[in-house]
Amino acid sequence: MSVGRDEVQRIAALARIHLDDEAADRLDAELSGILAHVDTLMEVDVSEAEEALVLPPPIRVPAHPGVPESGGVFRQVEQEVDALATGAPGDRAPEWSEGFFLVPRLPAVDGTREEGA
Amino acid sequence: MTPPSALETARRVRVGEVPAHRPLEEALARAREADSGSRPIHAFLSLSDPDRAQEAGVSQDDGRGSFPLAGVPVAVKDNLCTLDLPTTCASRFLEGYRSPYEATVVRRLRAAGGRVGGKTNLDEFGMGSSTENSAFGPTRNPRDPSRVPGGSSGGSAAAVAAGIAPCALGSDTGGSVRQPAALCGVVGVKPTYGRVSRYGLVAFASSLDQVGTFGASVADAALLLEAISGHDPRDSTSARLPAPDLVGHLEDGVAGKVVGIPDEYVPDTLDPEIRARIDEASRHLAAAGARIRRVSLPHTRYAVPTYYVLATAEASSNLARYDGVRFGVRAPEARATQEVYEASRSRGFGPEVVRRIILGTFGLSAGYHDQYYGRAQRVRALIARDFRRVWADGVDFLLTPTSPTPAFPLGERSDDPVSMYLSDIFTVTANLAGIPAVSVPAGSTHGLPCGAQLLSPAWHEAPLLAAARTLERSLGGEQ
Repeated sequence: MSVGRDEVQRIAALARIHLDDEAADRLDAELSGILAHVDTLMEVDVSEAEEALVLPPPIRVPAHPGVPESGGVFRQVEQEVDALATGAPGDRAPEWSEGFFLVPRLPAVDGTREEGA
Repeated sequence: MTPPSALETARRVRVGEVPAHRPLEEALARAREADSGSRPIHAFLSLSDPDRAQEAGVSQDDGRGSFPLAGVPVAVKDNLCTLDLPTTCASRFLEGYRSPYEATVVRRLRAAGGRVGGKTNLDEFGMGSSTENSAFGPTRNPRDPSRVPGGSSGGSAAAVAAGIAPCALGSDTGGSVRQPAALCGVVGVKPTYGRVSRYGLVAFASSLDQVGTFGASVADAALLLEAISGHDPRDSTSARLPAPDLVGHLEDGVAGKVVGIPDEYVPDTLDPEIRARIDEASRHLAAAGARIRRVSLPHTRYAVPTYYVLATAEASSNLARYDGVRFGVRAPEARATQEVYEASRSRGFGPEVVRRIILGTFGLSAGYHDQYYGRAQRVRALIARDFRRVWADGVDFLLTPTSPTPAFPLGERSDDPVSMYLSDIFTVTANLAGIPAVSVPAGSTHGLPCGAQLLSPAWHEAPLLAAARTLERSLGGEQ
């Protein structure tokens, strides 16, 4: 199926991606090619299929004779803790002051039109 | 340029023949050498500084004791978080990003005595089959530098194929470990979904992603997989199972096992040279005592479209966090909030990532959700059922080609997304079904490496790798 430039632009806006018309036309052609391939799914009889697969796969040990699962050991849960919990947060953030991460000001959020901090 | 195996390196370090820091130094020298010529391999985006690794407070044992990876240099795909090196996912959006924590798999390899050699190149966020979608330039195939190494874990495959490191970590969402392993002539394993923790793996498609390992031999890939496997309470999809004993069962062989060859994986259109390599592999397995049987997995032809609907839908959701605020380089000139998001994302993502986000958003959007995403979920269940029926019928393993073609020239498929997506035709099914699979070198076609893929039921990595080892030995690989 063909998607069309307007539809590509609508989808791009949903995805928070800006496309100029040339990029939208190129993506329209590419998506139409991909969807022609994807449309083969329409011929599958899905009436017998459950909607979602169970993941991770169910554990049945030993599912087959001779599956050597028994030799393994559970690893001890690592006692190490993340640097996030121990190190100074300021070492791993662009800016940090008085217990806060500093981020650039967004004018649309605070209602001003000043330059961001 | 063949370094000692990981097993041999660890043995030498443990008995004190070699200082624990030496193998990493030698690997770093080999990595620099591989990039020094007129056609650099470019397997790595960053290389470790052994001193900095210590500063980061990571486990730096003296390499003795029972450490199974003592002193072994391991190449790590740059979508796995490390403290001492940037984690970029080969995206401009994450250029220079430093994670505040380490992936569980990286911690475990360090705890086993291994050394991170560096971070390897990939298709941006794992999206691609050639490593040409890296924002920092492509990786070349060490077996023929005019060709791609496959992808998306092409840097890890190339690092092992070039003899820089004996083993490497990658991630496999639709074949991203096995396909580059096949194209570079090394071993690549995708374990069962849930076998290995994904804590610290940058998410692409969460119902499909799994960390996998590369090795110059089956033994080295198994050694690394054993070290990183097992339950992790930090990953809710990690199965409550012990780390399996893989190396100890490598010589178990295939006597009495039933190996199925699915008709759908050896179609009439398959390259005759690849078919000949698979026929040869099946003869070797039969000579080792396996029974060979033709089987059918009728929904195989729908696997690639199913995969591209589901993987892109999940990616469009996972990649929403890259907006210039939560993650990613912010477009400096943007003013309003929406502008910040749109300008940052449009600038940060490369063309393939944009293509997949748009496709995924499309498949999830109102009016298309049931037609695409909902239907693909159901077809996925049918693809998984095909495998369950074959296992229930007494088949222990399946034997297939890993890739429909050998390594292709750089640039050949860049402008044709569907042709690139079809590179994954034999590998995506294992991800859709959540089962383990391994690619083993199976000789050459057209003068280039060819891979044979073995698949098994979930959680059967130990017998699967024993079968891979049988194939490797009979095909004249690692003795």
